[in-house]
Amino acid sequence: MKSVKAITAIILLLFVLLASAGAIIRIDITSPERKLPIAISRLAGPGGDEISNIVAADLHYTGIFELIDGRFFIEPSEEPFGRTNWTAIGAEAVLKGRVKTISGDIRATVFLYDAADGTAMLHKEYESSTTLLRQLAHGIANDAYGRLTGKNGVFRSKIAFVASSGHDRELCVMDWDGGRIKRLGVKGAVIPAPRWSPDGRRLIYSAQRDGVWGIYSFDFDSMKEKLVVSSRGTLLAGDFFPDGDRVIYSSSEKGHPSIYIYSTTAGETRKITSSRGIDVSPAVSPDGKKVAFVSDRGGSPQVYTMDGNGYNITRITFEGAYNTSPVWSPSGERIAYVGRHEGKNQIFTILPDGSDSRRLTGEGNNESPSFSPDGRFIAFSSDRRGRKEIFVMRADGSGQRSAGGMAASSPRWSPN
Amino acid sequence: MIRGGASMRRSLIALTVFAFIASLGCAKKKIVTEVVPEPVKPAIEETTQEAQKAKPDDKAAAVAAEQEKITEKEVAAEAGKSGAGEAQTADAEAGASKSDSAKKMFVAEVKGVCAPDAGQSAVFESVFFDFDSYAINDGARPTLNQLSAWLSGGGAAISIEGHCDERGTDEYNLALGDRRASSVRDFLVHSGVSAGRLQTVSCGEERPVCAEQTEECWAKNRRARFVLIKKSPENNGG
Repeated sequence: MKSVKAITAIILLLFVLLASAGAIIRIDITSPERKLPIAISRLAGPGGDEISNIVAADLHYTGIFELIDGRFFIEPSEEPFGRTNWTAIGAEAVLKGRVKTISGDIRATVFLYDAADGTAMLHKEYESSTTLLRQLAHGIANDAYGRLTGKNGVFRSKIAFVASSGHDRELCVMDWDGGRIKRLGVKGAVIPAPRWSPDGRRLIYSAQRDGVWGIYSFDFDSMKEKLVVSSRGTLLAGDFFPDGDRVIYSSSEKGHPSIYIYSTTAGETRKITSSRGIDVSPAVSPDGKKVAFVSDRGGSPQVYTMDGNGYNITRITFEGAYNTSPVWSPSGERIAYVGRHEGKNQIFTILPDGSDSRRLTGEGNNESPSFSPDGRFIAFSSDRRGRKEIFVMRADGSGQRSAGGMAASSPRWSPN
Repeated sequence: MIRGGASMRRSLIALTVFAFIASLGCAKKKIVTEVVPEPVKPAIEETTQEAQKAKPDDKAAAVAAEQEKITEKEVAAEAGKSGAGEAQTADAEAGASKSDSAKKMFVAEVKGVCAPDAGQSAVFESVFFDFDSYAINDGARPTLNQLSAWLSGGGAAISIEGHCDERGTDEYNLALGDRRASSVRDFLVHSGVSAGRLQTVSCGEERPVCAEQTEECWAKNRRARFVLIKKSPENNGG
């Protein structure tokens, strides 16, 4: 009798434990102990394949998921979700759904299931015109990522860049994965990297037209370009302050390239550095308190930081004779920059106090780093395949791959 | 069939209580960053309209929707913008700021600055620089002295273009090209040429004369180039 009761008690206890084990799936993305096995089932219906492929590619690129190969799937897309069909192949999360087309629009109904207990962590409908299928799919990936990690996905973000066509330069924008490249209609002989406004509705950039440099802003709402500031000399757009009003830039109007701040509301310019050499490439920290920039005041181009008013100039790079192009991560915790290494340009990151520098690239020349809005990815330009084009990688240097496939340079990731 | 009566009942109660406590304990052992209370029944949570009907308080969707306008507007925007188009847009919108800066600038009709060499031939031989340097080196001095004499003897005005080899980063090279042009201008002014006849412009690494990745080619690209310009009346603006 007693042994039977004991066995019953143990069995019941185990059952309770197992039932509560899968109630909540979460991944700690800062220190993932393992990749979460997820199955992305093909969405049933027209366009379902393309949508699933985009979602799978987005989630796979984060490096924190293990995507189960579709050849192992037992359950057809059209059939309802059966938990054991998925636990049998090791999936812990399952994305399923269906797509309908309704007179030029697509409507996708998507579920994200927790395979351990069969509950739907996500059940959502998405609708758009068929032309926006990619953005719709990226939205699904964002939602799945958000449910599984508690963080916002960046799969709807954009990369602005400068396309090359012979001797001409043209501003373009594409999806983060290189899809849907759009020309903005802004051309010039020389256009350095554009910068996004903090709200993501404008770009500022420098352009030389008829021999005269100016800093221009392009507004996505009006699709129009406007001159912000122009002067003698070479003007290079630096960055916005978080208030979206002040713009920091470099100008050689007084002889040597120095750093200026222009307030668009006040219409006033203030010069904040003076050196007998070159001060260029200012980048504002996310909290607006610090500016990283490049100066050769020490004899060679190096990265410095200073306060927003030009005080407390501190050099932070000491390795190598050529360090340029600083950009802050969105958390302000690291600065990415370009350093010369064995005769080529490579991307490094460093702490703002100048310690812990790490090299992320090694093949070809790699320049113009720019962080994604969550700081987990970096866009950059690389000539490793023969000509300069846009590449992306994870912020630890893994997963380097091209995006967009155009002859291009100077990428800048949108802030949202 | 399990039999037992009262003691069985007690065991079952104890088991149920124990299992309840155990399940509470287990929830804490997961790899969890946040626990978001999810509705247990699979109800439709939200419907997102991906076209222009984004919710005004959903900022991300609003930006996405606005950016989606790019897709629809683009055909019209591209048709309207040609090479001259965007410059005209800038002029129309800039208004006062543009005419103010025009008064400060020396306005010269410089056609095709930093355009390909054909159609913009140099008026004098170029001078060259060491890597990453904008100092006038000894080899450049004789050429600059001759240029100075030539300029002083006539009424010509020239544009000094600063160029770099492709090894540096694009933006820094634009600044470096600018400093190279300024160094040459300063030298010429110091030797007696009127500053008003010298204009400087940086071409960065954008206009190389050769593309090989050799020291010989790089040295040819690190140069200041001299181009004749015509003076035009200053634009007094509106």
